[in-house]
Amino acid sequence: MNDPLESEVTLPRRDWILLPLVVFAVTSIVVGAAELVARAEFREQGDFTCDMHDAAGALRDKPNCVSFVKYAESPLVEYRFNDCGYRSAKSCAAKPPGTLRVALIGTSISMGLNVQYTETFASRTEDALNRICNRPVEIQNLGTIGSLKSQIDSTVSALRLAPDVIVLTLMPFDLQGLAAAPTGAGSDLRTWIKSLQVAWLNLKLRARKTKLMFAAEHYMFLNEQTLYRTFLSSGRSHDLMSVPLTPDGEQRYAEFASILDGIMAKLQGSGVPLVVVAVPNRVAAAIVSNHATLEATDAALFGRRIAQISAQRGAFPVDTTPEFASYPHAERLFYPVDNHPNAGGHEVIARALLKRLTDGSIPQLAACRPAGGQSQ
Amino acid sequence: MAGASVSFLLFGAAVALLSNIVWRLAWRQAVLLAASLTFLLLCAEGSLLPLLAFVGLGYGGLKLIESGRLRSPAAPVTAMILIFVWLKKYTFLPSSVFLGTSYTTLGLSYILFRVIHLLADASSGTLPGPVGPVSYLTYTLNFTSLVAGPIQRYQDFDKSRREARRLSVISVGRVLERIVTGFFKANAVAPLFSAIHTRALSQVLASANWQAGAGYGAVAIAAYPFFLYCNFSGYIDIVIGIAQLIGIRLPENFDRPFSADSFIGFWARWHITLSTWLKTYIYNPLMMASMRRFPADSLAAFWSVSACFVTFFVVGAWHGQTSAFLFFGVLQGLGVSTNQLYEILLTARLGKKRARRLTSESLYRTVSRGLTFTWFALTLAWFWSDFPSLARLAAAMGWRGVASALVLIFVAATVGLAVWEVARAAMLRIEWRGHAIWQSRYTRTAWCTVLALIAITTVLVSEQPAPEIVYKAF
Repeated sequence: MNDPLESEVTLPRRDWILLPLVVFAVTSIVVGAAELVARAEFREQGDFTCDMHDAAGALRDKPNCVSFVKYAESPLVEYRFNDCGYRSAKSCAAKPPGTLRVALIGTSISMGLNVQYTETFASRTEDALNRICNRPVEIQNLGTIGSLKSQIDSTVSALRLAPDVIVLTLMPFDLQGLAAAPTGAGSDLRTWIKSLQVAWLNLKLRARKTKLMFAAEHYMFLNEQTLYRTFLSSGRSHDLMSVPLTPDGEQRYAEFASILDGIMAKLQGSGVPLVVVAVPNRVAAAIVSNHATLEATDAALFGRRIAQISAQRGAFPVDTTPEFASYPHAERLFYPVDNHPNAGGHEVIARALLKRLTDGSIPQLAACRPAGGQSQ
Repeated sequence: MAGASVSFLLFGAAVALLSNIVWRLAWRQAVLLAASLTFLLLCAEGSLLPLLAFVGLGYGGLKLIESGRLRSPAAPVTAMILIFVWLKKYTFLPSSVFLGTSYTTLGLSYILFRVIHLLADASSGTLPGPVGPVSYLTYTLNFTSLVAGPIQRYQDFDKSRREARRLSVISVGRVLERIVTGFFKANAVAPLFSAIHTRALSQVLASANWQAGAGYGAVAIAAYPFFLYCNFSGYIDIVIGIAQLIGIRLPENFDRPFSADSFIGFWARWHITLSTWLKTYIYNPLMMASMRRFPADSLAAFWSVSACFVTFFVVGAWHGQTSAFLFFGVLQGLGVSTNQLYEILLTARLGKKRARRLTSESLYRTVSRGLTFTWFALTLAWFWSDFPSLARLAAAMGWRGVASALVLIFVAATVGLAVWEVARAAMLRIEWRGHAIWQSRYTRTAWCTVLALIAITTVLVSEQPAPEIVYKAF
């Protein structure tokens, strides 16, 4: 290589200070400028002030509360909660005679995080049912940012509303939060390597808190190949879609089955049917929609397993995976880093849910049959 | 770890630190041997025994030649090649003859090149002296060049470690610059081109008409050479840097290959150490044998073209065990021998002076550069794919689409590479107070800092394992 510095052997004394200064200055300028641009591009606005802990310590939303919040990837969204603290346009007062009432339970996906109320699947389904059912239909959305386990208590709250149907919606991240199988103790070397890996992960997580890292991650995840590679190497939902299932994956599905048992126990004797809606995450939607083949991965497994577990317990399953598969590049129906569905994703969920609610299989909604008897 | 990963960098840094504790040849040799064996243990998937036996056999052959019990290297070289073909499970052999157990072949090709070189040079008496077991092992298993080269002559390896001096601060700075550049190329740029290539391929299959197919096909074909270059040369930058830190000067393997204005010139700039090795041990002996057997001057050109074909066919065929790689070899051989034949005919027709004047004209070189890139990019299709997949792609694009894609690549490469050459030359000419700004250590430090920041961000964000080095597979 033709290197003009080849002939030099000593570094001038001033360069011992100047060169580190150059590195520091360039780093500061590049990182600072990039962080500023990223903050402008992915700015956050407002605080979510509507959540609170109830007497039992569970996370609930305050009655008659409104918050305007913009998370990094979302638009500015109005979160308006009714007199019971549910994200619904209608009051939770006693059900008017002749009205069909559907209660939604679940976590942030049910609540419609990052999506305007009128664009949530709850609102879209309500509108569609009102058109189809020839009688008033209202949806009370009890979904809130919380855990899947707390949905057993939410079922009790939902039953107080005298609903005709209860709908539980969940995504893989709801199961990821459940307890993982304990890993066997390894040798000292393995433990040491594991602790190094944890330290590296923590460093990454700290770095991610900067908007610069967030922006980088956002743009990299727009590329489906990067999304797949990341999923295969370190995807946190991989356990739920791996073939064969890992012990962790098995345990998470078993945990879900036990939560569902709890919900069904609360519903026993009420005569209220439960509909369970499984929504794939972004990577699974991308795989099924783009017909990608990933090693030891079955992207449709989450939807199938949830449907199977639900049907075994007498619930009505809705697997939205095929609906997402019918959209080209379904990964665009989700926020790349946040992983929640955007307005387009909620439209797909609404369509799949509506098909199930109007297919005649749920007696309480027998009146809701689209013209010609075919579900839309 | 056998890639352009953070863990490989850390491993290299640790070995460099240990190596520099005591600046004695014996100590550095011991550290290098221990590091190379540790590296093998950490990276090997499956048993190490067949690989170590292969290395041991090579040493046995070398000792037989050094002791004078064997005069010609032909027998041990043939044996090593046959064992190599067997261990690499070439598809033309029946699968029943292969070993049933899982074993590593990490760096086997590169070990073969080094062993054949030792056997041939020991036989011709050009080695500096008898090769001891430690020197042999550090040379054949050197962790910095085990996985994907570069292929170093033993004489250069031996000389570089004997004459190595402690690194000055400026040398360390240069090494860091080299490593950062390599890390950036392999971890940030190569994945980008890989993603472009993969995405374009899927779009070819989904394209509605031949025009779209041609566009996406052109992108897929043209993106791959850039990916391969960044992936391979990035890794080579890293290992050359690490080797320098432990007192070994590895040979350069790349010299801006896409600036080559002929296919022969391209192979003098791409995987240089492989081309040089093959020139020394295949092209030259083949030429000499042919000329000795049929000494007529009128046949010299024919032998030269034929030897070129054979040499570069071997280059291609060496890359893999399937018929696609054999065809890749045929295309490389065809490219180089056609280029050679053209040069001979051009000189015969115009005379040396006029031919040289023509080939040094700017427009001629620009077009030749585009043509060279297009041919290389096209031949690489048999490198990243296979016959059935390529047939599917061709069917999706149609013959009009394939032809249009090649024309598109040629035009884009001709214009793009010309613009790059002009821009690069202009950038290097920028001066401040009589000093070339781009060569100032302040500019270089600033530039490296930017590259390091981008590479680190990419690694932190992508959560992927370090990219595999494509040439690791060979």
